[in-house]
Amino acid sequence: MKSTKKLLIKVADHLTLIVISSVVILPFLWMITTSLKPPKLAFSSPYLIPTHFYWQNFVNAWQEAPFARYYLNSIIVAISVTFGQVFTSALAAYAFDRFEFPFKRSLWFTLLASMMVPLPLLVIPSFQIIQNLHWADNLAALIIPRAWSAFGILLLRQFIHSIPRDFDDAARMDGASTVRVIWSVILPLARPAVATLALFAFLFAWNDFLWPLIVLNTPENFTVPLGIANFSGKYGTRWTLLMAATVSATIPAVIAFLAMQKSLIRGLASGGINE
Amino acid sequence: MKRTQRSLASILSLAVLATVSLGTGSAIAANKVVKPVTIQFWNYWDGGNGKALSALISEFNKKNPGITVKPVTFPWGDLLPKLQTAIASGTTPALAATDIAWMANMNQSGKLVDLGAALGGIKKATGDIYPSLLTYGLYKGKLQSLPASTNNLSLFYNKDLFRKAGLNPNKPPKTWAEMRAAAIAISNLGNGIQGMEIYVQPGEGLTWQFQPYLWQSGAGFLNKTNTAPTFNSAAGRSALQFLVDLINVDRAATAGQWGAFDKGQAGMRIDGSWMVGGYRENAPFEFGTAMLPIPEGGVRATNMGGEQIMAFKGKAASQAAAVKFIRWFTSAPIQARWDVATNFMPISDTVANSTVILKHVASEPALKAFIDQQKYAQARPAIASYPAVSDAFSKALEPAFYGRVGVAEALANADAAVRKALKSN
Repeated sequence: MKSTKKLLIKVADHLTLIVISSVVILPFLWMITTSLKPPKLAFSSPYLIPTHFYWQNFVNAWQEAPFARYYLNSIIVAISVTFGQVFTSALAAYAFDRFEFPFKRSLWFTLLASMMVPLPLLVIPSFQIIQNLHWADNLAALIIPRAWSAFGILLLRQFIHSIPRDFDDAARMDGASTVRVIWSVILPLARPAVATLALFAFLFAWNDFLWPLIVLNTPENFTVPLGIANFSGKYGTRWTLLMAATVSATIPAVIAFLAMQKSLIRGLASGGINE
Repeated sequence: MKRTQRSLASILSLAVLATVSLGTGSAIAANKVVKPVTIQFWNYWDGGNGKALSALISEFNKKNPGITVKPVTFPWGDLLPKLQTAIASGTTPALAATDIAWMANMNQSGKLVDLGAALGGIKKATGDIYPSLLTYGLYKGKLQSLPASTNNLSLFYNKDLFRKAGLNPNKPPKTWAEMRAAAIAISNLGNGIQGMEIYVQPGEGLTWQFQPYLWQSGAGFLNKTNTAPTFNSAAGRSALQFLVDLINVDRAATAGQWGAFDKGQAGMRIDGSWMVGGYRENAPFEFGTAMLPIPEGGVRATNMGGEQIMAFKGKAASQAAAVKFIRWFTSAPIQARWDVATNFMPISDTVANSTVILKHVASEPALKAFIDQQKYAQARPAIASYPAVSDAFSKALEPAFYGRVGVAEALANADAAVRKALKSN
């Protein structure tokens, strides 16, 4: 009797999960199916499961623009931003949690307040600074201003707070410097939070559209999202090519997610209980 | 762990290498620019249009040693904000081609080169370009841009569905009454087939599709000085009523969707000549085109679309190169080839009557309606507040198509909203 009840609960759980995952999977399936349609069928009635496999769409999409170059640019930007954010957030988070210094509280609240400002609002002042630094139309403009993250500092500080100071003290007793303590003791212990931050930073930099659009002028410096947007124009949208390019662009993000999935879930789960 | 570290390290070093190589690349390019000039040409012509443009540009670059024009394509919706940022920060390209609807913004920027002065007078610069096309280029007596392409809206119809509904596929409707009758006959075929597809999503799309009905019925959009709306009249109400009835009384059209015609599920749609090539290649039905039907006692009218090409003020050499390119690109022989590649419409009689165009139209009969109709194309108001006006207008009209608001009330609301939008700028 009890086991039947358990079984029923399990079935209900899985049914719910199946429904929710199909909602998430459907747009992906739709994207993949459209990316494989011959252009003639893009005009005809829709179908969900791929029945035609017109791989030429991928070739055409990639030949339409120098996508290999866009990928290289996107990879450079996304990886640099990820490392930058992890590095600067770790240092700042450690300082905010372990050190006492003047104006600590007000600095902390200013930092948190900066998270409330929506990005589009910052575009024009940011662009003026970039212009004065002569970084316009340069990948530096996509990397350096984004190598800092208030969210990252918050996330890592929460996690570092849960690591007992005994670890720091033990390392210090063995003669480790502060940088050494952060690098060799704290960061490995904070791995779930670091993985979460790294993934968020990577996806943010990988998907970003508005800022690269404003800053970049030469196609040699374009990133993948700028290239993709050009498949949808005033005189029509080439759905098959747009979707083929989107499928290609999704792959690195999916790989990054799969690689960090486990740490990510742990990181998010622990973020909630640490204060 | 070790392995991830090693692979991370290798990715990092790759990234560093790539950054370094990028750096040296631009340094070499910077050193090479001694006398030859390289200029950017911002536009939104993507796909086949973009390829056609690139081919023409490389021809220009070959013919003009010392000048390299580099086309840069931005997505349509993003070119205007991009240009506005560039104007505000002084980083404009030497050349740009933009939607005619944005020209008021460009004209007011104060950054455009006076093409009349640069090309030996407005008369010499414009030749026999259709006067209505110059509406967007003339600003305070100066010629600040030239038409790079033009187009208009005509009627597309599905010949297969016409046949199935017992209509003559070679006799497209000429009047609103005939269009209504055809739409009803086709929607009676059932199976979710619509007689006609009407664009009702708020935004410039709705406004641009609806304006021809206003003009045909004798109502205007704004007055001559572009200071007040003129659409809230008996004629304007009859135009809106016609479409609303088609949707809600005749049930011959559905509000809300767009794309049924592409799939062969709608009998008619109003659209531009740029669709001809795509339909010829991919449409799963036989299609025809016709001039827009007009109401009893109405006048011929359609909406004018297209792009203007302009040069931005900058270094003398870049500016001269940009002007040279504009003169070349707007010349009749180049325009004729551009139109053949893009299915855009001729900007002048010389282009329209060139053998290249005549041959092209003979090979693609669907273009004839568009060419015949170009002379009836009306320009939308060339004022900076137009985007706000169009937005307000479309938002006030949308509920009428769904039958949520009466026609008179919707137009009165639109009138008030447009007046407000006109004042805002």
